[in-house]
Amino acid sequence: MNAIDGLLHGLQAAITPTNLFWLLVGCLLGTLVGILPGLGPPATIAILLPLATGFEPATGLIMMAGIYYGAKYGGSTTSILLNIPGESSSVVTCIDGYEMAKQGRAGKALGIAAIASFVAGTIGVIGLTFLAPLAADVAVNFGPPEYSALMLFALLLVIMLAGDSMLKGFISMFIGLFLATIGTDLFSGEQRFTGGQIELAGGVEFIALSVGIFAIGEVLVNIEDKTEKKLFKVPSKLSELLPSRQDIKKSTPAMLQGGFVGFLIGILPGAGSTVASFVSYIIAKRTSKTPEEFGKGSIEGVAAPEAANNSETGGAMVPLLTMGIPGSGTGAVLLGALVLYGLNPGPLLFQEHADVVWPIIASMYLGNIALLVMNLPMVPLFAKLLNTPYKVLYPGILLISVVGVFSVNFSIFDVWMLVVFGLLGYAMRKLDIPPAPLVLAFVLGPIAENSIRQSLLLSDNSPIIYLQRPISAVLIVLAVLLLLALSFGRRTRKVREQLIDADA
Amino acid sequence: MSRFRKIFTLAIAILASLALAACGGSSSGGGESGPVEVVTHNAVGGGSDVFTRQMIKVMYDNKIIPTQWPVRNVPAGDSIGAMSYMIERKGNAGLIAQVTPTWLATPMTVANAQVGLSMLTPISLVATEPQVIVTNASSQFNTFADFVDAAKAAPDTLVQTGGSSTANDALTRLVLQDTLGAKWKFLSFEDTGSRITALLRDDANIMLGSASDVAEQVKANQLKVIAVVGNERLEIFPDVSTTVEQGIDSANVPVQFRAVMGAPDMPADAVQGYQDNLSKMVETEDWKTLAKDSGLVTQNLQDDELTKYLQEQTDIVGGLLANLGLRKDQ
Repeated sequence: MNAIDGLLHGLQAAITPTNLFWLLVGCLLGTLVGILPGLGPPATIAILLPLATGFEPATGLIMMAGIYYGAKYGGSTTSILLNIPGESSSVVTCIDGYEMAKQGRAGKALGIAAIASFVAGTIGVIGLTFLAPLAADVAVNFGPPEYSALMLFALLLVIMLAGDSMLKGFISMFIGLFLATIGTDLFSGEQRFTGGQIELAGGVEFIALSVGIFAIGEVLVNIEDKTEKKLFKVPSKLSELLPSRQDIKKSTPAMLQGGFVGFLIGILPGAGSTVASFVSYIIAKRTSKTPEEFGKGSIEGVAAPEAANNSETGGAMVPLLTMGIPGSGTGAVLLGALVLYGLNPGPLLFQEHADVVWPIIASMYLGNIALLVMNLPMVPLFAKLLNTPYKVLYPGILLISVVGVFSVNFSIFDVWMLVVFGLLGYAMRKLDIPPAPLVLAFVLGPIAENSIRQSLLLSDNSPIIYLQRPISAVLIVLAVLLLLALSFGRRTRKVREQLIDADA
Repeated sequence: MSRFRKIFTLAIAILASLALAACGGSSSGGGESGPVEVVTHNAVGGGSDVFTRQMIKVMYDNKIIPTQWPVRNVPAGDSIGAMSYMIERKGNAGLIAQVTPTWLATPMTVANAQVGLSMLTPISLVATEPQVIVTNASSQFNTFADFVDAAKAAPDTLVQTGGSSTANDALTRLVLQDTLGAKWKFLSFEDTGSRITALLRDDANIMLGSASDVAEQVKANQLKVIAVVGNERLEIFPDVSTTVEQGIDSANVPVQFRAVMGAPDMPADAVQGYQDNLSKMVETEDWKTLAKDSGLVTQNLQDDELTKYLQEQTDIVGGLLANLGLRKDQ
């Protein structure tokens, strides 16, 4: 069956009242759990598994996939409104999204996030429909040296997120890399920096770290101000709550670019959406006509990462459906669901169970439309929530944060970690150290460390392995060029000036 | 103004209750025999989680149990968290866990773990899951003996891919290297998918894993099975010879098992009830199909047999970890 036939058959099978109903249920549930940090798609799907395994496989999987990408739509909401990134791929959205909210442009940010999600989500599914076999090849050929090179490249990009001071970006990144080493070492089985705490054996919980540093840190800084004045200006006219035609026009290149980058990087298991979100952010900044707005509330700075984050869904389905290899936590749950349906995910899934696979893919086109229709009307409502006085808003943020962090592992220890990272986030804000490099380095650190050690094991500690393989060689060259640009570009002069200031 | 405050409060209330529902959803049970909860140390979608759900489904579909028992995933600490959860609920007749060798090994690698498999109530060792040895379909190795010969000829050049150094496949390598006098490298990946792609890329030469991990790739002619570890052939790969048939001593290899154990001090009648359920389960056609497709060997060891088996495995795994210098409990 070729892709067009498959898709048409899939559409036919997906458009039954039952399938459409459960698709909508999945998208709605996904949006809801995406909004709340902590209780993510894996936990939601897990709760629904006993119910869903009673359905036809296609119906159950259509609903579960809906939860997966629906959560991506919802994920931007708390990032923009409350500076709470619910997952690692929303971290970059906080940078410009929350700035926009502070400027009273929350509605525009939420609106463009929904539109970008729709555009790029669709690009991702188109990629999945037509490029799956090709993309699977790329995923197979991405081994440890390739990942090492990609991570080197990505960590250099992370520093570029730092804002004005490269030095502070480095500090932030290194704290993140250090925190990432806590836990059990994959290679030796040794516990590192856990202080004998069993709760730390699996590493620091991401949600506790990101919510602490972003949301709690922000609340603590603002509480100090003790003002009665409102934090956010919210326009009262509905037309000002949604993105204007001009906003959409301005963001279109970022959305399309994010869509492609997201799909390409999303194919790679493990790194996927997080790397995609900030790679596309940096590209958007570099190619923007107004790069100076980035970090200060640029609408393109929201459109690009949200686009990449959503088209990643299509990319991540590639290894799952073509090889039975899950690229993420949610992918693993979907894989488990496939097994429970007796479908044995693997290289033969497309051939043996085309009747299940194509309806799922077709439903993703429909789901993206449904999500846009569902999400846009909610935008003004959410945007107006920021009218809430801080006496109500701050306890609200704290409550959502604590409940969210607790609900990941039902662990009080994680809540204490949230407090610790909240204080760290506060200190970093006071010292003007950007939080995003820390959180991203925390996500990338383990992938970088493991892949470098895996590569060196394969080559008997010879670094030549990075240049022997074409994909990794290209990435290394790119990284070197980037490093040169960073060292001799405009920014370096700024760093030198800062150093001179510090000496003086 | 106050309207939005109300909406905001309402939104928080809805979100909070959603989170609470999540807690409640997985903790409440039901049915005639009282609520039962099944603990697994895997996150949802992990091997143990999926097996646990499959087992419950077989029992439910065959009307051995009246309701689908809810599964509680406690992934913290790689079985330590799950074990603590059981031990805190001493005497609970409705709390069982699906246990693997990780539950034996992990507490040994932690100082002051204060938990251990011996504190739980043994119910039944449902099945063992013999490891299979796989290579890329185009590999020059057609038996594990071929691989061992090549490894002897060129020590420390061939690569086995697998999990962490304390996982079963890594410990098996240590035993085999010792008994065979051969040496090869070990390339760790966190997930099975990455191990399979390492074989497909020819970054690694062999992988040890469960049959269910590789069955589809074997069917698609991407990987081939060159041996089953142990002395018993598997129904799913009837033509593949065992390591024993290939002349390789594998008596001291740690065995991947799937057991069911109860909370400490579980009442005897409850233990008997679960044993009866599981004994009925392994006789069903659904179970037999599941066992065949997943490369499981049905055991259903109970009481003294089970205690003895667990003691043997504890000794094997404990000895291997001590040799690695990872034993922290002594």
